[in-house]
Amino acid sequence: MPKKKSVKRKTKVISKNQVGLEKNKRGASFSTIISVIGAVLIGLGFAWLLALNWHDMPDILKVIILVGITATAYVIAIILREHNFPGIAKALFVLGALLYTLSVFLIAQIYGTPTGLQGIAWILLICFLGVTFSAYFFSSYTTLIIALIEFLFWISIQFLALLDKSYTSFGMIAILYLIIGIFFYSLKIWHKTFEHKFARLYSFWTIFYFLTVSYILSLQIVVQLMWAYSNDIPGNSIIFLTIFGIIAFISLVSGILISFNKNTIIRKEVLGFVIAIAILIFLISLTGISSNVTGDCNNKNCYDYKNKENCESTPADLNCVWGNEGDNRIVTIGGANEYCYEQQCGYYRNETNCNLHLNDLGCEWKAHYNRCERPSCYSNYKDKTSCESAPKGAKCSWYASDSGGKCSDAMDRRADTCSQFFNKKSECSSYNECKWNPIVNYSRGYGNIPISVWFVWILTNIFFVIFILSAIGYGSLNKEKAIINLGIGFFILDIFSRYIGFIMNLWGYTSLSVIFIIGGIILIVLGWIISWLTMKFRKKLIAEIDKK
Amino acid sequence: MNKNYTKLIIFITILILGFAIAMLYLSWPRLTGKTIVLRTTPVDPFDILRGQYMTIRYEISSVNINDLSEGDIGKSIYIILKKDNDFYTMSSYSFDKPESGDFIKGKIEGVNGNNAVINYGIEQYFFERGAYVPQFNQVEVKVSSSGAARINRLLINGEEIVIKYRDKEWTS
Repeated sequence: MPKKKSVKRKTKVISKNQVGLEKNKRGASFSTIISVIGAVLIGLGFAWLLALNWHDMPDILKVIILVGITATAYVIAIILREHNFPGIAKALFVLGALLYTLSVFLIAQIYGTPTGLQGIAWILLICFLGVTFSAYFFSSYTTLIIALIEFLFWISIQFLALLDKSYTSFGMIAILYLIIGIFFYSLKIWHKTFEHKFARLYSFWTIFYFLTVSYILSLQIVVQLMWAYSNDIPGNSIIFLTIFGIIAFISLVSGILISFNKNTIIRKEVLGFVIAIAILIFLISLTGISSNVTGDCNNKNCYDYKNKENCESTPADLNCVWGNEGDNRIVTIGGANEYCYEQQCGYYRNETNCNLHLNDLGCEWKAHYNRCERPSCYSNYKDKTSCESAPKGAKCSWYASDSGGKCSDAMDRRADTCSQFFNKKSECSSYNECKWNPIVNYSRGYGNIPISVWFVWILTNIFFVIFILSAIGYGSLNKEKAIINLGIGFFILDIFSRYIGFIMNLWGYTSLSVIFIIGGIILIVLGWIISWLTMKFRKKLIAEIDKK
Repeated sequence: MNKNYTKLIIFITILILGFAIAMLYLSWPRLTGKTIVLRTTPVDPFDILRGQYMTIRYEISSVNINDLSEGDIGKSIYIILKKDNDFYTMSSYSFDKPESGDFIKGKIEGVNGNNAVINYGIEQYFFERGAYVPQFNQVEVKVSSSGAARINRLLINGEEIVIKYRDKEWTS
């Protein structure tokens, strides 16, 4: 009998987690999938029935349901984690965090909490604190990402609430986001110093955040609007910005000192970060020369006259009145809130009242539409004779032009006068009847962009590309694939954005093609230089080792 | 017991306690407060463009105050109320909490000359999308001893309005 060959089997000890992974890899059976689909359908059905009967339920029952479903999500997540289903457990943690956020908002709605920005800020703060707590408590990466997103929402809404509806420079908001970035980096340093498992996530998140901020800064409209509006911001928001800035700064400095002590971070990385912040501060400041130099020039309307004296001295053809529109409409709000508004034919709801305002406002009753309106001079009077015989109240005048002429009212005439100062702020401001609007109306064309805007925009784009390359370099040095992919992703985003921007604004991409060719050559040369330097450094290192 | 399950129990306990405290705080005026009826200024109840809630303005939402300035925005103010037939109207105001009597606490949101626009936290009423909210001219609120108010019911001439919801049918 031939001897049986003994076959040595390779044995391998695998951990409990790997068993779970193996289970996941194998996938669920058909019957399990059918059962899960059935369970989801039942859950959805019950959820919709609940929604239909929501208003009939007592408030306490609503709260119990909300807390119950939130708790259930976390319970199932922990059970799944215990039974080695980490993938599904992660999803359930995310669900739990989202259900918690939803519950807070719904409870706020049930109890009718204030709906203003500050009210929403308080709700978001409660959401963010709760989700952050659950992220650290259960060491859940995905929950932490939700917490960070909610943090961004909260701080943005809170700052806007403190601005108290006043216009402000977007530059101040940019400074807020810069401080937030510094705070994120400090969190990364602290987590790395204490070897917390969230360190890598904070590292990725910080790079993602700064790339996003740099991308937004590279958009031309941002460069044009950054400091376009008033710089006056209420004291409360300055205090908030200052306090948060101090917290971020202290966190960063103390984190750096401790990490240097423990040797958990390299000095070059910190230096690189400081340089990046300095560049961003420089860019944000530089947008001061490109802001508020482009925009539209519009004619003023009654609402632009902010006090009674100015309102009452407006030209008669604007039909401005100081008071409260409630005088003419259904809603009244007492004696408060008076302002300058235009008397309109639409206020007069019957033919008799409408006809009373033929001479002063040019109102005519339109029986077909059952409403009172002032006919448009341009649409209704196509020649000089009919234009000059229009009702006095309509205030139509004939304007001759190369194309024959047109019949227009005072508003149209002012709009024509003001619109010629497109992108010309000083000329616009010199006309009393015109007002400057820094928001550019691109449907009017793109021409006459000042050189300062182009200069700043090119600079912000160059630095954005430098940031992308730095992120990819950092990812390569630290062997972090995710960060490398992030850098490449933003590079692709940059290409798409520039392509779309050139098509939208310049109707062509000849110059973009040239820019890309030149840019590509620079990058290839840069790549060659880096690899030559790396080789040289390696040779030097080998030579030193050989000497020893 | 397993560490993860222990953590879960602690977390659920904190969750329930947190929500219970929030509920108690928000319900406190309704549980302990005095019922007062305030008159509203006419509001279009069909204006739901701002979402699933409506904004309510009261007669006491705009109040004449001497020597008012922009610096008073954000200050708390107590409106002392007096009963006028079935309603409560403003008797006087104070920037300090009154020792006794009926009052409601608000915050100055805007200033226009000597008129202060005041927010009491009861300016929004949430309702289900697609519901029909009939006209109302009074709001019954519960005011706690600290002056915090919560909406209890919406009324038209003293009678509670009936909000009509979409009919639930098998084919809806």
